Amino acid sequence: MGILLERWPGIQRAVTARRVELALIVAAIAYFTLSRTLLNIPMCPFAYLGINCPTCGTTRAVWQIFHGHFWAAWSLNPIGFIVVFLLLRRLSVLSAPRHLVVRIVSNQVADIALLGAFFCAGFMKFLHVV
Amino acid sequence: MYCQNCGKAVAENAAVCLSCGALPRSGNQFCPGCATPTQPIQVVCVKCGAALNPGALSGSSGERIAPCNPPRDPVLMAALSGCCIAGLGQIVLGQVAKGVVIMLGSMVIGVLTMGVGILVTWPAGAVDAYLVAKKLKEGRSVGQWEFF
Repeated sequence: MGILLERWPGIQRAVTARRVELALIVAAIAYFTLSRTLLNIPMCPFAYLGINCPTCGTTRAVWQIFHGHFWAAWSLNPIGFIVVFLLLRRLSVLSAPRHLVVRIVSNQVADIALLGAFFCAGFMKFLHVV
Repeated sequence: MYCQNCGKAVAENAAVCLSCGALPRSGNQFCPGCATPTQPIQVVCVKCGAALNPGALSGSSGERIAPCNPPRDPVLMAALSGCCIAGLGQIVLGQVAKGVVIMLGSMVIGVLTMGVGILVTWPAGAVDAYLVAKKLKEGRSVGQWEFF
């Protein structure tokens, strides 16, 4: 997709990229919210090999969060909460980039905190702390 | 700075040389640092060491990835590279070959170490995607194989 968008010049490319990304995020949120069951197709190659991985369970956790089952999501993988936050943040950045709330949640400090939380959650999961 | 086409002094931020009308860095006759005459084939000035053609010294002849608008979210790229498939964040950013190598490399390392190697490849891939996306967000271009 990135390579295709490179070929369209200037503003048209920016508008198209923004719309494509918005559509992808809305589609993802709609899928996680509306689907009754999750397709049992792990995205991670390690899941097929039976190897434990720090991010195993994230898709299921995101699905649980969008269905309101927060404790189930936490025990599947805490990274799910970070992914949901990132999806909502990206949605707000793309739709209202100058909004005060958007500027508070989308800056360098928030980025580093999120990255730190991402690794903490992954290592907790890997070491079976949660 | 001196015009590389005519060797006359030009201001650092000049768009064109006021003596010859060329772009100051477009010529190949003079050194921009000391105005010494140079050969078109030279990459650095042999008198002062200034780079005559910065692109020739960057090490990679491949295309560089330009920042896109709107810029990608660095943490989302790190999460893509860390959650779904290792290297996916890099592929979305435009570093396709590098992303594929990371993907295959992390799988091989993971299998060979029975999963323990993931503790190294997982944060490394995510931090790499984060830092590359951050550079692009700051408006800098990155090479196809640029890490961290």
